[in-house]
Amino acid sequence: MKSKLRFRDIIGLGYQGILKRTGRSILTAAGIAIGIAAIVAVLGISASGRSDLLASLDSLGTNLLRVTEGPGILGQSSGFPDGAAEMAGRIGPVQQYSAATLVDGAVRRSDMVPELQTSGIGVFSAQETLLEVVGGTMLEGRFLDEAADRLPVIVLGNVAAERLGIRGLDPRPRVYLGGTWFTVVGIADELPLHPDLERGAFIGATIANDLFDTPAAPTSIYLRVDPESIDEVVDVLPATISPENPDQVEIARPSDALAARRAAEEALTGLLVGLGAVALLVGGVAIANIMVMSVLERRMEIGVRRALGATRGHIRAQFLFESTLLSSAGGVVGVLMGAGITVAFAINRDLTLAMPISGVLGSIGAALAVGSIAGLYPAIRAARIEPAEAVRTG
Amino acid sequence: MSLIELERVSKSYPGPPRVDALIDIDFSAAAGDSVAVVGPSGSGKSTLLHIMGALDRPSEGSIRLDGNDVSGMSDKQLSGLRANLIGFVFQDFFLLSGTTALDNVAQGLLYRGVGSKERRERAAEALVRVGLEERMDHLPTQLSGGERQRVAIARAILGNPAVVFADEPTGNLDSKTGAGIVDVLLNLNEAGTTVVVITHDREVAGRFGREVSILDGRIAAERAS
Repeated sequence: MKSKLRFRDIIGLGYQGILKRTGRSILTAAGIAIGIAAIVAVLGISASGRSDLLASLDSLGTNLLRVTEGPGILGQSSGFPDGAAEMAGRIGPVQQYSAATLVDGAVRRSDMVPELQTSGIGVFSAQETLLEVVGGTMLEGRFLDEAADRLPVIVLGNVAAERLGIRGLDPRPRVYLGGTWFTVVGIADELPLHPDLERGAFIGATIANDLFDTPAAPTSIYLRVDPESIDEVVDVLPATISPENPDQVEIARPSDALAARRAAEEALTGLLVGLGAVALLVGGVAIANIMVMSVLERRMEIGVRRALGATRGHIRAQFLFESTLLSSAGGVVGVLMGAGITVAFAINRDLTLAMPISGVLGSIGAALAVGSIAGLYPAIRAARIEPAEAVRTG
Repeated sequence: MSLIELERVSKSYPGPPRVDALIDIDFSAAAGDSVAVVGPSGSGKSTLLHIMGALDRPSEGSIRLDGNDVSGMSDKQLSGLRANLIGFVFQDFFLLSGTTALDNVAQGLLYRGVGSKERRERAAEALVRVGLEERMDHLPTQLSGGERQRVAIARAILGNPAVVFADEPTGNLDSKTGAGIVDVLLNLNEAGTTVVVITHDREVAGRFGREVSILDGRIAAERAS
């Protein structure tokens, strides 16, 4: 003679156990749900952010070098020599080059604005190739060309245009610079790696020299280099650009900043996922707590079931399944909540939505594992209750 | 052959203080018997019932139920006996709250691996047998004490057990309702099921075929039919 409990009935018992105590079940599963929601949301948001970051890294390219003049040993500035950019362009692996020279002037919306109010906009005399080399595009209009070299026309970075209150080229806006009205012929799009250029205003070299005595020697040089040979180029650049003061040549790789940001974001993601895991753990402890209490309360039920023929194993299975079910329900709700948060965040921040499937499956698996581990001790306790004791009255 | 056979059964709880709940009990009941076990509280009659019903094991002595030696059985085997051979009725009914009468009764076949459809069909039949065909979808809180005890009896007899043990089944009921419950148990006995009832009510005990008096863990007197 055997006692036998069908698997379907174990499932049924678990559902009944949860549904009969709806309020308590919801509160118990909430801990798991919050933990899972936190993990899924963090993974989703960071994945969405990362896909954009990677896309921008790809589109901006990682082979751009920016060369500027750093402070010398004595702190004096001697400037790059004339034709430094062209010298650099002659290095074998350098594919493209361009240069800009800082102009000593301030752009203003009109001659009524005080001269000291520069709005943080830097004026550059720029080579025609500048925008192409830094990987930029135009939002509106065109960049400087040969014809613009000696004319009072100006191109604005997107931030500079915003600060000047210029939203479009129609009607053609003008800005006041060095006692002359310049016509805005173009506005450049965002340049995430070059905040200084986003805040910049660009004019031709000849007119810059005419109005401000700006020298032809560049203050910053931009180089596109064969990705395989970047280190070699970096080695020879100082002596090539400034043979007299090679120690004053500063070389930066703007994409490094993005890579660093990405690393920082990954570390933060790890930290937040860790916090979510702690929440999950706390949820697991809550489940264990409630289940232990439930076992004490349900002594009578356990006694009756044992009298009806349940083995210790059947009682164990019932309670274990109940807690696993409870936490998986919490897990599923948590995934939905986390996904909702991710979608809302992505829409709000205009990010490309990305949801790592492995993270979702992993967190459901974690909820299952937490639930079954949390349920183990209560289930063992429930199974240990002596039937004769449980059914004794008074 | 006896359905229940106890030989020099003792049950003691190692204290401190050590309690000898049952001492050297010899008892047997044949299939079809109706037995009332009487005695004051603390006399050991509940312990005797639990041991006869394979809910508990004796410290010494041997028990045979339907020819199976219970003494050396594992928890699994004991559970198997309870699931297939034995029905229990308790003083406090022990129905699952928030579960209808029908589903409470259907639990009686849960641990035999019977499918849920058949369980509920047979539960409905059992409720008819105890006169509760009108109350199948009621929750325990919507039933009177007597009705609850009938639900509990239906749960116990659902699987046609060879023997039904009832521990003070009338203890929480007024005498008229209690008499009705005894009627149900005696009808069951007439249909062939062995019934063993614990009671401290002499009047109730008198209606059963045999009466065994327990005092301080020993059988003090016995009235046979």
